[in-house]
Amino acid sequence: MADVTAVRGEKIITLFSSFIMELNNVKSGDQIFSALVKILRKTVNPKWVVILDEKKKLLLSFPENDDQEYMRFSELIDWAIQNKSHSFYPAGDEIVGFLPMIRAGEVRGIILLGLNEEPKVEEIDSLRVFSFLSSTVAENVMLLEEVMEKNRLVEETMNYLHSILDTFPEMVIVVSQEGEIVYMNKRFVEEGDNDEIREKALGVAKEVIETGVRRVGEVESEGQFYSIVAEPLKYQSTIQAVTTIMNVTSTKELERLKQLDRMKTEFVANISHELRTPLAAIKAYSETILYSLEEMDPDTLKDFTKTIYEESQHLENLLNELLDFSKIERKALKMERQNVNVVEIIKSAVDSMMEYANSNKVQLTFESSDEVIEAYVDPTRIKQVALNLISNAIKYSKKDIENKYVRVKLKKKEDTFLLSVEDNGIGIPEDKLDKIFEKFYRVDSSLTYEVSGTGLGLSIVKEIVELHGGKIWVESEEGRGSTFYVEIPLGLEGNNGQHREDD
Amino acid sequence: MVSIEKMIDKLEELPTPDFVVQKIITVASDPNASVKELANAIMMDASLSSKVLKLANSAYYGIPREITVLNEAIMILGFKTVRNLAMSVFTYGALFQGSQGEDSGINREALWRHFVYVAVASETLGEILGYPVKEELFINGLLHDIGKVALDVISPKVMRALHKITSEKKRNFTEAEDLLEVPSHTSIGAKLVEKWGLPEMIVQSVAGHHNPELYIDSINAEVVAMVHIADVVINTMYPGDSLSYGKPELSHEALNILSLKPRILPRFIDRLKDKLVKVDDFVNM
Ligand SMILES: [Fe+2]
Ligand SMILES: [Fe+2]
Repeated sequence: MADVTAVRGEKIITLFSSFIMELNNVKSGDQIFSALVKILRKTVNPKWVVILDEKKKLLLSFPENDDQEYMRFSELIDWAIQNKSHSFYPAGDEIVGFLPMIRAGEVRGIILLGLNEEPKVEEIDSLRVFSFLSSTVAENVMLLEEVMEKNRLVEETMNYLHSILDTFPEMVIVVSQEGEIVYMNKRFVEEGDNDEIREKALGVAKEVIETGVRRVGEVESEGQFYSIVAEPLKYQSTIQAVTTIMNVTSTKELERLKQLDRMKTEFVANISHELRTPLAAIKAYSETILYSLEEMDPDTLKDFTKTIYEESQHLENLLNELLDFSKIERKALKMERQNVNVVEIIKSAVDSMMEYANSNKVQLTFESSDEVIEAYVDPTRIKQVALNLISNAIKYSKKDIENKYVRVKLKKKEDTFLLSVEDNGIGIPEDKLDKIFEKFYRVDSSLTYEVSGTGLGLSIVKEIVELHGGKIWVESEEGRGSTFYVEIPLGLEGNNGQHREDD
Repeated sequence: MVSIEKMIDKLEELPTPDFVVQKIITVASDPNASVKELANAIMMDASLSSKVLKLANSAYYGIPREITVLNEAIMILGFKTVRNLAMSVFTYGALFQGSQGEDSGINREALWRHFVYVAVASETLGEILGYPVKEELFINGLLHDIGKVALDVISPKVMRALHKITSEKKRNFTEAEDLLEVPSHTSIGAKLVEKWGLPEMIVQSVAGHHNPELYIDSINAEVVAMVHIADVVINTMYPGDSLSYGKPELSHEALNILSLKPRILPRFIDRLKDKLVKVDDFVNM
């Protein structure tokens, strides 16, 4: 007797073990029920098994069929569910088992099975435990499925949002309170992930995180202009910065063209005035001479003619500048290059400006590192450059100080010569330094109202220097003075000092 | 006044479950038993058979088809429920047999009602908390105050004195036991069910139903705690039935053992009330 019990006990343990093994591997409600049917077949070998949910909806039927035979026990099913009782009912030649699956006091479904003979106490107990285990595992699996479904939904929503953000023409990044980039959209990955943009964007984002309000910024990188807008975003009790970076180069270009157009209009008005002033003087003086020649003494007459001469010279300069400018515009400016001594050219430019300097009480000096600096350049144009820089230096001298000076220096370097023109004049504001070589630009009308000119001079100078393969730059401090530098290649190698015509 | 030893000696006078009931208890817990064996055991006592069938068909179980033979009753209600029915019939008999000599004057109908109600309340609580073998809770609840039956039979004088104190001074039965320094109904009851050869689970719930914390480390801790809560709830709803008139004391340890959330109590009471209206066949046996 004891042996039989032991054997049975072992059998039960084996059944439980294999059932629990099966349950370990299930991933869906259906699999639990299949595992259950498997174990039921091993335990009591039922003729049939039907599993219903608590509303009597069929979940599984073994062997598979949908004849709903089991509905003839409808009232007993209801009773078993209502009473949460495990019971067996003799029906014809079979015994029908009703095993409600109970979890936390609630019926979650019911197992029906058809047996050939009355079950033993032990079998009833096992069936009861199997149904309990199944309902517990089924509920956990369903919870898990629910959680997985929720995760999937969250992930889908995330992907959806990401793909929307990825279609933005703007670059979008999110910066955490610690200053880390925690999100970047596709555009940023493709276009914006360089140090200049990253640094500037992080800077703007940091301000937002510190102040909690919207901040904007700008950055230029590789010839492209970007505007940066960062907005604060509260996230899990921290502040992050949603930062949008937009390429505004085309907008900038348009703005530049508009400004150029405006400057051209200003230029036309300006140049008309510039041309009219000497012309008016010439007209007035020559008119006086014409009608009052008899009453004039020779000195006055000489003065008048001198003025007329000077004004016509000024007019000629203006017209030459205009002509050069139109050549530049038509790309028709040509350099007539030949082997020359640059020292001589610069010296003659300084000489011809000496009187102008004296009349402005400016001390004009010239020194050169070498007596002869030979270069293959256009002498007229190089002189024009020097004249322009020197006359500007004198023109923009301070009105009422002592010891005004303009120092012209020439220095021979290995393959180039360096011309510098230094003054202690009014200087150029820092933010205007890169604009003074632009066409039509004059630093500030309030600074230059007393100074006349086309505003074309420096842009022509730059063009000439660049046509010689050289460069021009300026160092300046507002109120202290400026130094313009021109560095031009000697251009001697390969031409053997022979005269050559450029085109 | 009365020593426990004397009391225990006198336990011999108590009715012992007869051979039939013993057999039923044995068969119901034998894993190899068959329906036929249990049916045969019950059928040895014709009066018991008909009472069991009557209870099986009672409103409490509400079986949709009438049960006419014990085999069906056993299969439909299960071995343990049928055992419970047989135990109910026996306990009822024991309570109303009374002592041969003088009468304690207690209301035995009320005490029996208390037994049935606590049995139903224990089973209902087990159901709500998802205890897999709720039938065990029924028998544990049914027998929890069996010590009071023993006292009533062994020493009607003591019982009368205890009842006088509890009813006149509105005290709990256990308080009266302490006041009179008599052996407690829990210890006498535990001895009795042990003597009857009932499982340890029942011995512990009888012994510990007023102090569930005593069995916190027992494998039966949950059952003892559930019987305790059922007893407190029924005593609150029907004061005096169990000869206890004071304010029932709920053990917090019992709530801890079951990790019971107070919010399930209303659900428990609702379901319990539904069931209590269906137990007339048990109460008026
Ligand atoms: Fe009690
Ligand atoms: Fe009680």
